[in-house]
Amino acid sequence: MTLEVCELSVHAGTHPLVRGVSFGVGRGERVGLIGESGSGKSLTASAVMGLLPEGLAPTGSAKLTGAELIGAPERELSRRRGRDLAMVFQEPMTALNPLMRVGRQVAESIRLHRGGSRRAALRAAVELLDAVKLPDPEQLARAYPHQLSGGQRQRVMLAIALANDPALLICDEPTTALDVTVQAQVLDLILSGVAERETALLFITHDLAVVAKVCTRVLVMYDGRIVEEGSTSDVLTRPSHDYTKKLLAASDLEAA
Amino acid sequence: MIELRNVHRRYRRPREVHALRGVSFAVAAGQRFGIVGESGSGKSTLVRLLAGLDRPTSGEISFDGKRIDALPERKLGFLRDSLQVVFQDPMGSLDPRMRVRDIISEPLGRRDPERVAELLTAVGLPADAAGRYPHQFSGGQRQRISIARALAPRPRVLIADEPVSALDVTVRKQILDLLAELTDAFELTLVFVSHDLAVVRRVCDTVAVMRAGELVELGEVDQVYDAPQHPYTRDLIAAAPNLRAELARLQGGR
Amino acid sequence: MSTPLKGRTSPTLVVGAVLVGLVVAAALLSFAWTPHDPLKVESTARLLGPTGDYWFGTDKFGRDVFSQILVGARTTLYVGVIAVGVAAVVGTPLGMLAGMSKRWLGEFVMRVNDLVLAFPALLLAIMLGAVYGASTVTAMIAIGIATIPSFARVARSGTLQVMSTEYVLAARSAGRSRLWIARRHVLPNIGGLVIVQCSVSFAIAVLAEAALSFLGFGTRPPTPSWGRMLQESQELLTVHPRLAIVPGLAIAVAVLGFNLLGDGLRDRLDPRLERR
Repeated sequence: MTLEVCELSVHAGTHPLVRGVSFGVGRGERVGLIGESGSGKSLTASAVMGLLPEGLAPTGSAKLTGAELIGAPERELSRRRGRDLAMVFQEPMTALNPLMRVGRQVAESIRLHRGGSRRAALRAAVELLDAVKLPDPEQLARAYPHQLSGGQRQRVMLAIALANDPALLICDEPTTALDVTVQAQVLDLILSGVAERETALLFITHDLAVVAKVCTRVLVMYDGRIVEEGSTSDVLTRPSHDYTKKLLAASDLEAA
Repeated sequence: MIELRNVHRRYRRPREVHALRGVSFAVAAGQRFGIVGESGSGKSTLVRLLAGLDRPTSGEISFDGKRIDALPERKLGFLRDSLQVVFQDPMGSLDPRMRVRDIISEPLGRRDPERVAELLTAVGLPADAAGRYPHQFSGGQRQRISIARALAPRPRVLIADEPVSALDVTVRKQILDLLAELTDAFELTLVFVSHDLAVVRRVCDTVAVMRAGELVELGEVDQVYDAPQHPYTRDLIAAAPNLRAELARLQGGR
Repeated sequence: MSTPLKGRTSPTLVVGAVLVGLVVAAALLSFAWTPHDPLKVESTARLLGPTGDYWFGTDKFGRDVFSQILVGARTTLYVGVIAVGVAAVVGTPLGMLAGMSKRWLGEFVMRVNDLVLAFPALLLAIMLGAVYGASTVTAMIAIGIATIPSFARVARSGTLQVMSTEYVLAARSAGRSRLWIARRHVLPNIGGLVIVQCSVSFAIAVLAEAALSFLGFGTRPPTPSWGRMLQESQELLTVHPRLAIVPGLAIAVAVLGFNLLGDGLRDRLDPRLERR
């Protein structure tokens, strides 16, 4: 198991936002975490990454390739982030530094964790931008985030996330803010990116059709708890929990 | 009811943008007209022009036979009473410092507790909601408040701009059904703007597909979805995540 | 205005409120009672250290320092209230106007605003003093005028933000007039910002009054004023530092108090009331 989460809880004071969540993601496995707003899915991801906002404290355990993440000192966590575990966020505009050229942002991530000269890192960055199918990667590396389209920015984010061949990739609604025609391309990139590297994928979304396309296993979250889990086809075609059924019914707009 | 003829809208600042390029179409009274488009398609610009909140650079827009593109703000009173908009963001479209009853009666320009109570019932909210503040409600409930506000002046046309995009999936259906119900009950003409194909299909009878400021396809909903003519429409339909198709695939593959 | 307040009560807010409370309490108390008459010259009791009778000692004229501090608090608060009042009442609508007008007009108003901002309050006070004779009133007016730009700035920025919201768009599409929008939407939503600015400007006003009095352009003797107490303590600084420390501390407490109060209120009156 690449990622092993055991009884993970997040509390805001006494109020529980994530309650005793346990699951695992194996090497090369693609696990989806579905739920609506307030279900705690994004907080779960933030807890694993060690990026919870002030005032929220995680308890429980989350082990990445055996090493504990919860409660680990920030210094250790920041070393592991970008190298062993990486995250792609929903809104690329806020996740990318608007004042730095994109090529340099990718290169920085490489240099930070692998060392090496600036030039070598930049070359590797351009290669990565090419790998995420960005047109004219050499030229594009010199662009600033605001000069790129939403889809292009997400590809840059993906490039940064996969730059150091992480063991775990967490995607939090990566295509929700994108146009439908671009979504499919970015999803394909994510799929090929993790397949190539045998990266464990935790894919968070509220869109059932997307999770059906991308993931092999699914966890359904509601009110901070995992209410159902299983293979994608089992959970989505033969749901057992009421909430899953409700979610499926609501997502099917063609029905009455 | 609404007619657009060769409407262009160019923006100078902050950048040169040709948001609408010669758009022409007509919405008949009582129609449920959907406008589908992705980012940059010009649909938001279209909403503002239809609502009289912006003026086209060229072209004509008529409402109920009267031109509205050339009228100054103060002469648009007739439009304001007959055409109302439901906005996308359930948080941003309600003033956080106003009570619900004041929000709903705002289009009327004066307090009207009876009308407010009537409207709250129509949108399925409890009567005591009137005295509360927006932040005390969920996203779906806030959209109901938005709808109630739009219905207050008894408009003839309702423009819904991405009304469910910011809502949770389990709530969307309710709001869409509410809109359909109210459109029927009050004999409204509905203009429904969205990027989500499935949502438009559920509510509308006619659909216009926009791309980069141009109208690329227009027709009856079933026709356009089942037999799209324009390549862009085909791409759009093919790329849209389709739950039924995915479930069929999952079931088939066992 | 009915504003649902969110946020925890921070220590900043509490400390600020306590310090400001001290100053207000001192001023209020001075109306009812002071240990001694602050204006009474007692040549036999000059330059005494703190005693049971004179809690902070006496100054070179034999006047009780503690009593002077109490009455001086009044001056401090008068100036603050009037100055900030003037600034808020003039500056806020100005800023709102700039925020709701056409771009060029708004920019023009803000540039004029900047001009006033650049003009030192001190100079204005001196000029007013020269024409009308320096007094607490001229100090108040000068400081008030000099503070208008801060309010205009804050009001404008808040107004611009409110004007870009969807609920204002909804109001416009419902046919509501500019005036209605200003009154019903803009004002309540920038209220928090203005209150915070009041607090911060109060601190500045207190400091400005002290400076003006110190320079002789503020409160005329014999009315007690903390600034003037500082000035009078200058010549005996090395021998009786107490005479500078006490008013200095009083000024510091007031300034700190208002600043902290402003910061604390800012956290509390967050305009983004939504929380999910």
